[in-house]
Amino acid sequence: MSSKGTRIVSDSLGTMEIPEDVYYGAQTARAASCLDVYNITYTQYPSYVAAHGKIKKACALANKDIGALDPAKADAICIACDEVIAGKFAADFPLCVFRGAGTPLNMAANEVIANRANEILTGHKGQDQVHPNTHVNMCQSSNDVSPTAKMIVVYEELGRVLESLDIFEASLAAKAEEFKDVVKMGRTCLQDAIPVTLGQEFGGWLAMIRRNKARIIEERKRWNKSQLGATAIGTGMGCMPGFRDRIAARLSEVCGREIVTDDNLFDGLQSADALVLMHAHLQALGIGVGRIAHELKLMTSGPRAGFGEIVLPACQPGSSIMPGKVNPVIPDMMEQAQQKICANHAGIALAACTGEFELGPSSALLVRGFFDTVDLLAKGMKIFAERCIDGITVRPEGCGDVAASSTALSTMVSALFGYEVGTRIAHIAYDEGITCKEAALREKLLTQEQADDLFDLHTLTDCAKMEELYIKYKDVRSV
Amino acid sequence: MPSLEPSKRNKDDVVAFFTHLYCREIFMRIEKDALGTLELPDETYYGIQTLRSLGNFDITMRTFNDFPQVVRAIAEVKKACALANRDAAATGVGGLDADVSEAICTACDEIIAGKFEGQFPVNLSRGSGTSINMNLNEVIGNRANEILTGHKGMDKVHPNTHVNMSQSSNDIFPTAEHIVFYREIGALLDALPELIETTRAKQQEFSKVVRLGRTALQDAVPMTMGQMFSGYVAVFERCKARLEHIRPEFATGMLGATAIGTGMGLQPGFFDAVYPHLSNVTGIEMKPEENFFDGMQNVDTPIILSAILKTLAAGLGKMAQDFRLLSSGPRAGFRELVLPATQPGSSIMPGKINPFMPDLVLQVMQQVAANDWAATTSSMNGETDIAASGVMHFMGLVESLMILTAVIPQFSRKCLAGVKVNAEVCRDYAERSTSLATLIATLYGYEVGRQVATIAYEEGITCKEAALREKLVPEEDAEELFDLETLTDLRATEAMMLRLLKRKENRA
Repeated sequence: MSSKGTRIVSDSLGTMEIPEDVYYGAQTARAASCLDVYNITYTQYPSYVAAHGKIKKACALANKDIGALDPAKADAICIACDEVIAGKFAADFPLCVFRGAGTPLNMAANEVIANRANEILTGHKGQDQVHPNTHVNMCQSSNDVSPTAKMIVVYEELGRVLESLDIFEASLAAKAEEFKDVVKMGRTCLQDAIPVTLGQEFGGWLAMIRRNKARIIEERKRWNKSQLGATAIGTGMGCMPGFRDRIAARLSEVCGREIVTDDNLFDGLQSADALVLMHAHLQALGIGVGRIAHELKLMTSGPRAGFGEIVLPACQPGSSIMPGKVNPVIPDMMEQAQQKICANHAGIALAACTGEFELGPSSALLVRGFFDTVDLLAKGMKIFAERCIDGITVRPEGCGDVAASSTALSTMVSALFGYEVGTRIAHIAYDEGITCKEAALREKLLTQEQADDLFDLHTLTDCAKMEELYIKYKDVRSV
Repeated sequence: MPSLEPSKRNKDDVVAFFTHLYCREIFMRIEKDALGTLELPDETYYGIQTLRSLGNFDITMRTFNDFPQVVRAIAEVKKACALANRDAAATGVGGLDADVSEAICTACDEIIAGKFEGQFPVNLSRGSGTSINMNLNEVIGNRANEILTGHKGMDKVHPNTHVNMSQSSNDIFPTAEHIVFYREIGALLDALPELIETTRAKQQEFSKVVRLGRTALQDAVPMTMGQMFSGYVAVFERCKARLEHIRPEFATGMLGATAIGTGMGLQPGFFDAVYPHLSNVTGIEMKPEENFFDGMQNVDTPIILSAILKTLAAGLGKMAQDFRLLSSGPRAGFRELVLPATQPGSSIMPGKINPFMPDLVLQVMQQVAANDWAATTSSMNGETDIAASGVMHFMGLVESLMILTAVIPQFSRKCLAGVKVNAEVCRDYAERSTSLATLIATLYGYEVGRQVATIAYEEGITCKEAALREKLVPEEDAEELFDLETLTDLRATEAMMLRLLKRKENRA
């Protein structure tokens, strides 16, 4: 409670006493007390609150344009909105994230902006000059404000993911180049397969990341549809003449990008498919990043009793009891992030199944899940790149010789001399603990030159060089 | 706000970060760990390893400062360990000096009392418990050192050597997890009786209110509103019993296992001493897990807990959905229930009141289901000797317990207790159902039943009116046949059928 005392505010359900120094009003206070089940509030989502400020500003400007709102009031509302956008009133949105979205959050924005605008005009908070519903909410309903606010933040927040993707992509690209000549064992089902370069593995991840980035860039462009003008259910009841024609232009101006009014406002108010699909793009990316994390953990397993192909940079001591242990904490974290993103998707899909008739689902899971996923990816990929991937070094003893020891190396021999010959080499190598090359030479199955050619690890990771082998040995090929 | 990104770890950045955080000038001290040295503000009780984790794992908006009950549980475990290590010193081959043990216990007591609020900034995203365990070791170590010497530091009490003696993050964290689960389940169990009693009171209040049952949202046959509520009571009671049943499974600890279950690093005498101390400190009768390797590898018990919470959330969510549907209106809906108003429902439509509390419950239900998914997938995260060491799934479960415990009294008091029934509307629906012809078909043949239903449907009259007008049912039977109260009672319906069948035989 404020030391400055309290003031009495009222709404259609009665009067309430709230601290003097807060800018919110009766409805926010009522919602904050009724719906308080967890210690996460919209104060912790400043960009979502700011999106409401942008909408209210655009509406005030449009209402001023059409002569529906007194210019002095419109100007005061715009100043108040700018302050909301700048985060000045973050603490005035104490609504629990569960069920705080929609009407409670829209009314909190209306109340904060109205009290501040009233203060600008009169020197005191109150509704005598600027009323939260009549003026600030003019031509709007929570039902068109809420999806429009989501449109604004989704676009902005995807920008954060893309920034981080650039960093992540650059790190993978640098490592793909750096490791292009490091031959190591390729594995399928965790069993030895045939050689691959570490650069090729990083290159595969890089291609996946680039594809996901391109998809997100494409998907982001779709988030430019405003529902303003729909009011409560899409029919526009309560909208002043001319508002619908002005609002998209004004909103574009405030947001600094082109925003259009949605083609079908009934659809826009009801449907959550766009959010589900957008999150699916983030989930696909999150799963991909998690896969990289999982594989790095396997590659770095050891240092003595594991795959031991690479060394990750140490971030912190890994154990409170085992001195000197260093754990792959960042890949570990990204695996967790992967699973949390999938759980967020489950929540979003479940929420999207609700809602009926003219109004779509409530926002809690959609907003919470989306912001959480964005944080996990935007912050996570940057940390993953800078604190882990950039510092990866190769453990040569875990790569080249291990790859040379694969009993699957006779794959190329069987392609040229038949599966029987290849199998014999593999068996001898396996049983006697020698390499395929040694086995082939000892049993005189290949000449020295043939063996040098066919078991050259660099050749065996290069499609073009292997084709050359086919050409070179086309006359001796016996299959 | 200055950031503490990993790339910015020089002294100036750290000073800027903390000056901003504390809004005053700060003085720095130097600390060392296995990876090198770093400076940190002298007033923080946490140390270099916690500082390293800042920024490293900062990918969610939640830190352990937001979950004081978890910090408290770890401090309780540390206290029990300090006492057991002191006892172990009696064997004469190790253990902890009495004064060091006492200082550690005092520091733990202070944490338990909430004195070090804000000293646990480790992000929840961190995959295993090492970061938060080290955070506690450092705060306790610095405070205990201060108690003994007047200054923070490691000269008398070392975070690993002394505070973490006989422990590993791998046994500390699961033990604390269990304590938290045990208590949070207790809090939920404390909240459930109010929900059950309020629902039962409504069941009794509405026991004589006849309404029309629906299947697939189409008119079916009569029942009482009380009967509908009795279904809610049953599911809540069943979930309560399930929670009571699983709760003791969390009165087990992993202390003594250390890193992987073999107990390497234990002080002789520690294991026998620690569980009685842990039980004393927590007030919960704690026992060691029967098989530490099992305890290290498997997360089936939390998965079952998660499933029970999901079941409870689904039961609550079903009730909330029903409330939303049955209170639809006030003019153009089902109108059977009237929910109390909690706040104005619309920014544009004056006088509109929305079912806010059921909406809130539904969203809690969705979150619990999403957290359940996280608990399930995290079980894929473990390899060989350490299971899903995911703090995130654990915190998801804690969150589910917390939001269910919070939403139940809110919903009980602000919605359920004030639910009113629109008895006339309910009765009217029941009387006008064309499905009342069901019994006519049973007694007088399907063809007669179909005729009655068709006439009633087409002319907008009741089945009773149709049956009497067309003289399809004897007048003496009709009164009994269409008695709504009888039709909601299995035994009364049986008796009525017997009477009518007898009469039919007599007439024949």
